[in-house]
Amino acid sequence: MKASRIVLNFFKGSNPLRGLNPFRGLILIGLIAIFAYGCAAAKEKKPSIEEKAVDASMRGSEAFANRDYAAALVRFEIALQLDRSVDNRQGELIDLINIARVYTALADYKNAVDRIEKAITLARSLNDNRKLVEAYATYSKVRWMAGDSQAALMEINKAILIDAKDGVKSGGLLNLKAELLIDSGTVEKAETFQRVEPLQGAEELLFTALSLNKRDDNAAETANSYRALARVSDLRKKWNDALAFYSKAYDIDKPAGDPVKITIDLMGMAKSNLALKRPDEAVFLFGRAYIVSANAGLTARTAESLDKLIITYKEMGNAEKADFYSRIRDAMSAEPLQGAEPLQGADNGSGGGKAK
Amino acid sequence: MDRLKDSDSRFKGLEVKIGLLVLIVLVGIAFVVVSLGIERGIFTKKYTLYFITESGEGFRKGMPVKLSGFNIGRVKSIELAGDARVTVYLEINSKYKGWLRSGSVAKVIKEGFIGDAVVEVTVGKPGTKEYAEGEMIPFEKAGGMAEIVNEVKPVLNEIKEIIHYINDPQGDIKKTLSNVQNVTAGMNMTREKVDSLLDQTGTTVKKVQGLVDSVAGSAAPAMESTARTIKNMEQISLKLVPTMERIDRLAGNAEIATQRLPGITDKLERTIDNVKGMSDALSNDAPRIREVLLDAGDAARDGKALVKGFRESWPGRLVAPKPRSPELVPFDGSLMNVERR
Repeated sequence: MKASRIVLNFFKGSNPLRGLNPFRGLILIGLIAIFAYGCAAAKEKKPSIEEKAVDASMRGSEAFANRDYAAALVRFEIALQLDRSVDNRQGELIDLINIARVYTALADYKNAVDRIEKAITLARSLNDNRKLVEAYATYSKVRWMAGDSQAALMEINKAILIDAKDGVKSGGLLNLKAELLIDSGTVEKAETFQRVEPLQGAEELLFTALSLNKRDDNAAETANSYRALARVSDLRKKWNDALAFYSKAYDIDKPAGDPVKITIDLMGMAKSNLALKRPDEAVFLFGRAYIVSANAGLTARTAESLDKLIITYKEMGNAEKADFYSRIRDAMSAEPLQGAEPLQGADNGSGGGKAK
Repeated sequence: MDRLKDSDSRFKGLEVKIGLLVLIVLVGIAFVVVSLGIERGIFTKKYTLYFITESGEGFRKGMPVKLSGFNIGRVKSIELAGDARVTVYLEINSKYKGWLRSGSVAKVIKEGFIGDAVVEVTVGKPGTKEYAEGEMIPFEKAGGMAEIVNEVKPVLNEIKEIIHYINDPQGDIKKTLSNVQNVTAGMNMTREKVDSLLDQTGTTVKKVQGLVDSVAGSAAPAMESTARTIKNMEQISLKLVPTMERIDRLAGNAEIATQRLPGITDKLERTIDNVKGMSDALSNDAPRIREVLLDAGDAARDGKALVKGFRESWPGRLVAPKPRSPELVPFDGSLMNVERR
């Protein structure tokens, strides 16, 4: 009725708002203004520097997911420059952590340390605990790769403590801590830091991590938990348990398609079978590990699987097969080993564990 | 109403104010009309030319006339002449008169595949007489969609002939494929022979090795060289194994491809027949199809504009997905797959 009176007054030439409560009139005008503003088409605009930075960062993430680390590095560096140019501190923090993770994947410790230390400083200044946890976790891994297990353990403890204060639990962090415990020989109980018997802390931690990762539907970290549990079982010489854990890890890793993890799983299963006096199964799995690693260009792992095949066939009395693989191994030896992918199976490498 | 008296100060000079307002409005309207007239060339001087064509299909009043892509006039009128042919009158902007001379021709072209048809006139020969008011300009028939389809038909026929040629059991292609099959079969045999040769090489190598051992003392330098050669031979024979496997696969693939080819060529032939059928239908329905395509283009443009408008306007902005934000790449809590210094 009010609206019709306004229109009528307008056409009669008198004050259209006559007789209307001034307060309601103001509300009406306000609503009309809001509606008109809202219905107006958004202004066409060129992508801003922030948007370009986001785009570069997203492309970097895609490249990282495709294991194209060189491309990922370029994209993240572009994103970092753009974010810094507009003083986008949150963006800069994400870029720094991402770059450190790419350098970690490229085994470039120096640059990884440089970037992650800057990220930690920035995360502290921004009071961003979530990113600080991520940065500490990455730093921990980098310190371990640089050969300092105790420092790595210290950094992961910092991350877990922040999580605990914020009421957060991450299966990925617990996985890393468990592996560091096994590797460093530290015998503290993982979460309470009480001293317990060797491997017990790691094992308890890994079961907690496993349930958290399953809860979070995090397949990659669930497989990591199984693989680390398999390693603990290896060290305890519980071969049936080890075989079961490696098999579970393999079932998850196979569709994910990471050749390094698949090779580790296959080698682990093969070694467990060998320990259980099942050489036929063992050579079959060593053979598959050889094929996977050779096709992925993992020279060191290929050599390891060939060595295992030769030894096992010799022990089985199959000289023909042993000779066949020996010739391939000799041909490989003639060429310099390429790549330096780590060799940490159940019974070798740094993952062999001091905590026995 | 008592308040609205002539003595009210707000009504002082009312007539002047209203007059001024009306004047401003009239001036504005005149300005708009004149601007539109200038823009549409209403006030520019024009002259008329005409051409005669067999059919008036595709022509319409107001159709643009272009010279080198520039609009220089429009189709003024279309008339049916006494001999059942069609006279098309063109209204040309006089300032382009200098370009239309003897040698100029008019033709109908399309702007893009489904674009509007326009009358294109070409530049005349320099130094010749300009066309004057009411003169006839020659018309050159150009290809429409029907003509394009007619041009495509012979090409399709040629493709069909090629397929027949490929598919001919006595033709070169089939014979060549048959030869390839024979070669691959020969490769299999060769491979078996190479396998056997490799076995023999192994035996020979062992014998030579024994011989080398026995005479090593007396002819050490020569024997070292022989031993190196033997080692090389062993490596070569090892490298031959994957090559032989590749030959096996290659032979298998060639055989499969040969078996599949007749089916593929049959399918291709049927497809070409279908294309021909479609092209016939197209040539018959070309004018209607063009209209449908134009309508579809307009509808698509309108739809796109509608969606864009919705996305950018108030309710759309509320429901549209928010832009993605950068994220951390996933952390991997495993140490087994990384290298340690």
